[in-house]
Parts: sequence; C-alpha cells; structure tokens
Amino acid sequence: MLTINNLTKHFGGVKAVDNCNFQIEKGKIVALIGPNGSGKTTIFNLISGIVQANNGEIIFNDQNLIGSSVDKISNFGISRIFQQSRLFKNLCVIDNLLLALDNEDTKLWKNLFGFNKTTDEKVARVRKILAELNILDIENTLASELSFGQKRLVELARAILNPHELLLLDEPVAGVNPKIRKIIAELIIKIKNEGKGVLLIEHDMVFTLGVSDYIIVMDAGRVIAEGLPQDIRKNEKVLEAYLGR
Amino acid sequence: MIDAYFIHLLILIGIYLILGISLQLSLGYGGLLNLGHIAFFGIGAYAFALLSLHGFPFALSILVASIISGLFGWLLSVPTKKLKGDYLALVTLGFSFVVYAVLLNWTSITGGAFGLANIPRPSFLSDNFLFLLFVYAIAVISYLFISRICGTRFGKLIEAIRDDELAAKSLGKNTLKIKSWGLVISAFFAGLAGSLFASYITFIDPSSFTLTTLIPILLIVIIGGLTSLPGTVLATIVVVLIPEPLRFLGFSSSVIGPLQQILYALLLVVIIYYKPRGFYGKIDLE
Amino acid sequence: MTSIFLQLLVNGLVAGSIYALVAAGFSLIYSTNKFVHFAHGGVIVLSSYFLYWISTTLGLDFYISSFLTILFATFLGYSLNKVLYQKFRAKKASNSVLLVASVAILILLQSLSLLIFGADVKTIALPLSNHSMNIGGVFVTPVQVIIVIISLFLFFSLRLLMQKTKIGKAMRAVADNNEVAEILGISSERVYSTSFAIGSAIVGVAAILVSLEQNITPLMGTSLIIKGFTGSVIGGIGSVTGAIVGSLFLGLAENFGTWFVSAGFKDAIAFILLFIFLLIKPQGLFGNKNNQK
Repeated sequence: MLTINNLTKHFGGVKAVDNCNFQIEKGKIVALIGPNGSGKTTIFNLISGIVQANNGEIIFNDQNLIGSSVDKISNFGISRIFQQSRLFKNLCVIDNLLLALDNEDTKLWKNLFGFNKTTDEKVARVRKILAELNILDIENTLASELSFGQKRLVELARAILNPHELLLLDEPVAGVNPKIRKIIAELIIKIKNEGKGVLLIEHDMVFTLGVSDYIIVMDAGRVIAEGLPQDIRKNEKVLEAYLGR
Repeated sequence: MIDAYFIHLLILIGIYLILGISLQLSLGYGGLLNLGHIAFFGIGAYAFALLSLHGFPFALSILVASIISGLFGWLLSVPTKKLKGDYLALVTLGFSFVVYAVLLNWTSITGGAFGLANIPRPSFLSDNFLFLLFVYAIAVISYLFISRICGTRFGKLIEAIRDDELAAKSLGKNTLKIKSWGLVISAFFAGLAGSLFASYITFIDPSSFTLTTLIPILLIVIIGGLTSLPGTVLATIVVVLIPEPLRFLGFSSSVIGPLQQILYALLLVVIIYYKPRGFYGKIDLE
Repeated sequence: MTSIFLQLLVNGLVAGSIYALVAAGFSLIYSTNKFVHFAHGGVIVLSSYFLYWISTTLGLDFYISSFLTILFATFLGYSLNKVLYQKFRAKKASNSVLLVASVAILILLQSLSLLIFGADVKTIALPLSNHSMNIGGVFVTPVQVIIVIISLFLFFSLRLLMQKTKIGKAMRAVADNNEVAEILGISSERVYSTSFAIGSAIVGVAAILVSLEQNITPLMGTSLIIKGFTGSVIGGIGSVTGAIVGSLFLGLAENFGTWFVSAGFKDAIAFILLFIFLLIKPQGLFGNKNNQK
C-alpha cells in the first residue's frame, strides 16, 4: 500500500534521508529500526507531510503524496503518533479522542445549526478503545494532567480512532511499563489483522522482534538491511551499525 | 426614572461586552494574541458611520459594517496564518497601526483627525433608555451566538488548534480555514460593537481606536479569565465601573481620562503578573 | 529639481537620525533581552516632559537640564527592568506576556505625562538661535545639524563600546547565546540591566533632541517607538547596526514618500513598511538568526 522510491531529504548540508526505497504491505507490521539519527523520524515526517522531500516519491494507494499538506495526507488514510505526545492539553481525554473520529467539526454552519451533535454512538466508540487500553477511568481528565504513560496511550487511541489504513507509530512503547507494553502489542496486532498497515519505529528490540512481520534497518539516512525478524537478528551489518564503528 | 449617567454606563458595558467576547473568541479559545483587535472596532464604526451618513437604513448599515469588519478579519488571517505568539502579536499590532494611519490620513473619506459627526440614529432609538435596551438585545444575541459556537465540536476544534495545531492537522483538519473563521467571527462582532458605538456617540474620530482603547478590553478578557464567557461578562461590568469612584472624588474630566488609563494599564500589569488565569479562566495567557 | 531632492534627503536624514537614536537603544535591549520593550517609548515621552519641567518650569540652565534628563531616562529604563521585567522573567513569563506588559507600561507612562502636564503642546526655549540656514539651496536649522552630528557620534561610540569594551563583548555574548554566556561566567541579569541603562540613556538624548526639533506632546512616545521599532525591523531586529541603518532608511522613505503622497500619509508609510517587513522579511535587511523564536 505504501511505496517509497528514491526518497531523499537534506537539511542544510546533512542528508537525513538518502535515496531510500522500501514498501509496506497491508495487513503487515513493519518495523523501522536503526541507531539514533539514522533518519527514521524524518521518514515519518516525510510520509505524513510535515517535511517536504528534496527528491523521490511516496506512493500511497496509487497516490503520490509528495507536495500534499499534512491534513490532506491524514485524510488519504494515514494516521500517526509522535515521538513526544502531542495531545490537546486543555481538553479532556474524551474531547481529544472525539476530534479524531471525523472532520464534521470543521464545518461551521453544520455545527452552528445543530447537525453535528456528539452522539452516544460516538462516545461509545471512544469508550471502547479506552476500555481496551484499560484507561476508561481517565476519560474526563484534562490531557495536561495525565501521566507520561497515560499520554502515550491516549495519543495511540487518538491515532487509531482517526480513520486510517496505515498507522505510523513513533516509539509507541518508549518509557511505558511492561503491562501496558503487552496491551499495546495486542492492539497493534489486532489492527494488522483488520487489514491495516502498521509502520513502527522502536528501540525496544524485544517488543519489535516480537510484534513485527518485517524489519527495515536504517543507518545514516540509508536502508542498510531488511528482512524477516529472525534474519535481521543475525545480520552482521545491523550489529555493526548498532554496536558502533 | 433611571439616572441618565447610569444609562450611559450601562450602554458602555453593553458595547464593551460585545467587544470583550469577540476578543475572548480569538484570544481565549483561538489562542491568537490579536493586539490589533481594536482596528476591527474602528473599521466597524467608520463603515457604519459612512453608510448611515450616506442614507443607508440603520439595521442594514450595522449588518454591512459588521460584515466589512469580518472581511478585514479574513484579510488579516491570510498573512498571519503561520504566525504564533509574540510574533503574531507584533504583526497584528502593525495591522492596527496601519488602520489607524489610514483613518487619520484619508481625510476625504474619514474626515481625518476631525472624524465623522452627526451620525444619524433612528428616531425610535433617540431615547437613550430605548437605545440601551437595543444594545442589550444585540449583546445577548452576540453572547448566545459565540457561546454556541464555543460549545459545539467546531468550538472544541478551535481550542484544539490553539493547543497543538500540528496535531490537529495530523487528524486531517484544515486548520488554516478554522483559524480564518475564528478571526472573521471575532472581527465581525468587534465591528458590530463599533457600529453600536458610532451610533451611540454619533461622532467618531481616530483617537477612540488606538492602543489606549485596547488596554481595558485586554483587561476584561484576562480578568474574566481566558475561555470563560461568563467571566467576561462579570469582568466587563467590573472594568467599566472601576474608575467611576474617581468621579466622586471630584476630579475634573481632563484628569479622570488619563487617570482611568493609568488605572487600567496598572491593573493589566498586575493581573498578568499575579493571576494570568484570571478569575474564571481555564488557561493561562501565553 | 535637485534642490527638492537634496532637501528631502536632508529632511530624511534628520528624521532618520532621530528614529535611529530611538531604535539603537531599543535594539540593544531586544538583542540581549530578546523581547520587545515597547515601554521604551514611554521613557522618551516622560523624559521629554522632565526636560521641559526642569528647564522651563524650574528654570534650570539648559545644559544642566539636559544632563539631568539623560540621567532621568537612564534611571527610568533601568528601573523598569529591575522592578518589572526582571520579576516577570523570574516567573518564566513568555515573550507574549512581556510584550503585553510593556505595551501597558507605554500607555501608562503616556497617560502619566498627559495627567501631569496636560494635552497642549509644549516647547522648549532654545539655548541658541534656530533660524533656518540656507546651505547650497537646502534649508536646515542648527538644531537639525546638531541632531545628525550627535547621532553619528553616539553611534560610533556605541559601536566602540560593543566591539572593544568588556561589557560590550558581554552584551554581544548574551545576545548570541545567553546559556553559553552564563556558563562562561557572564551574568545575564547584569547584562540585561546594563543594556537597559545604556539603551535608555541613548533615548534620553533622543528625547532632548526631539524636544528641540519638534514640540512635546503626550503621544510622541508612542509615535517614536513605532518608528524606532519599524526601523529596527527593516534593518534586522537583532542587530543594532541594522536598526540604525533601517531607521535612516525609514526617515528617507518617509520624506521621499511625500513626493508621491500628501505629507499626512508619512506615518502611514512607516506603518505599512512595518507591516510588510514583519511579514515578508522579518530578519530585515541585515538578516540575523537571533530574531525570532
């Protein structure tokens, strides 16, 4: 569903992403791993439109995403979470999540004349995912008052509720306790089984190797290896990249 | 009946209330530090004055003047769409200076420093008490309208954009369109307040639309508390009434004017230092 | 034709010099403190009235009065920092909050002037005859010549201060990166105080010169700080040199502008330039990375 061709991005003199090529299929979880600074988050920013590529293509369901704005790309069906949680801090959890369900809230007149009420059905959908993540109790808490782990979960819930076919997860389990890690893993696998694609960046190797169907390894902006988890584990180049040079 | 001066104060409260809640929408809910808000007040006032001086009917003049003001809100939203914080504040401030300079210098249309006089008021509103009722009818409608917007999902979206625009975009929201609407609506109601002001005083000149007028309006929005519409109502009453005791102390009017300004400026500094959340606010001024 | 051109040139340089005096101090404060000190305009207006009060009402000798006025301005600017901004900074107030506070103080000082001295225009008795002189077809008054000379002198002195003295280097260090400067042992707070003192002293001189050249009104502070701010933005708000050059450019633009539009629109020219530069070239003509956050 997603094809990256010859993607290049430089910032000043530094090539953050250097001629990358790879593919993501639907119904699969692909992990993007590599040492810090290898270009993984830049790839995410390129796909989601936050940063514009200098060269190359990003084809999503036959549509080239290059040049599209962030909101347009989201509406094509790509949802993401950020490395540092970006919640709407002065709104409560439920409001943070309701915003993700659809874009009817952008229509002023529809809202003004009462045609976009918050239905029980919508609230139920929000509550369902909160329950799956075991955080129903915080539904009315202000986002600014949540703990670190709770923020990560709410952001994940928000990205999932945002209609999508491809989910970009930037370090979904960083700093999160093992119990929650397991819940997230199960949730991601459930999403993949629904036919969606998942691309994730993670440093937790146990989590990554456990949950991924395919792994792409980056270093210094380039793809240096890719393959099944068991093969990557034994790959020389990968070990070298991670353990230093 | 009711003391004439008291009616005057109540009318001022009504007009400032509309001005205050319009700023509350763009500053409190939208998070846009629009220091040029008074420019919309002035544009509405002058547009109304010019329309009614050229014979347009009263209600139509008010409506069109407010729409013109809203249009300027849209105009301002275009160059400011990517700006935030103090930079946005400076640009909007610059906008208000440009508007002021135009009002002051385009003498053939605006009357320059002498302004526009003899602005007609419909005969059925010539009694100030009736005018007061009229102003409050408009104020109540304005309050309900803005309150309604803020209560809908659209209102929540405006707040979300204030909190994190990029996150809102990543949920597929066209944030530029929403921010534009916020400024347009805010400017519309400021222009509405301006029309009422022009109609009431029947004479306007550029000196009513300077930074000096911004201070009490900012004060109202911050004292009431950002995002609190009821707080804005209370704060308007308090802010308009606060300098009144000065009158009882027997100062002459040439003293009361500047004293009032000093008082407002001092209060503004004090409140943003000690209580930037105001009394009923949900968020801090940032 | 050329004599009109030269006249506009001279008028532009004189006006630009005044704006530059305002902008230099303002820009010095911005580059170190990193926020817009609009109350700088309040320092101007109150200092001008101070000069009026002690020289005209109290009858003190003009030169002594001028000296005291500069001290007054320095003290006022320094106090604003110590009593106000420093406290806000201690509370980690954002730049927006500081901006709002400084605008409030500007209006406060302006209203104070209005309250104490009234709205009617005041003039200062000149210590020398100020008849217009005709130099090569161009009319210029002694005061105007003095303005340009003193401005040039102050600008060069300021430059010397910034480049050669310890305190100047400290100010440039803090302007560049105050965290590193702190690590190197430079006290940010002391630099802030000094920049306010120097900046306000310069604007004290500006207040004196403006009072001689034009009349004193309560609104002059707001008007001048906007012009000074515009000059700073045009030249590059983080750079003192830029502020000076930008202000001279503004003075020239305003005066040459009267060739095309009526004199009343002079102010409008400044504001429109400000708006345009803020939007299109915020780093000014002398682009500086220290400008925005």
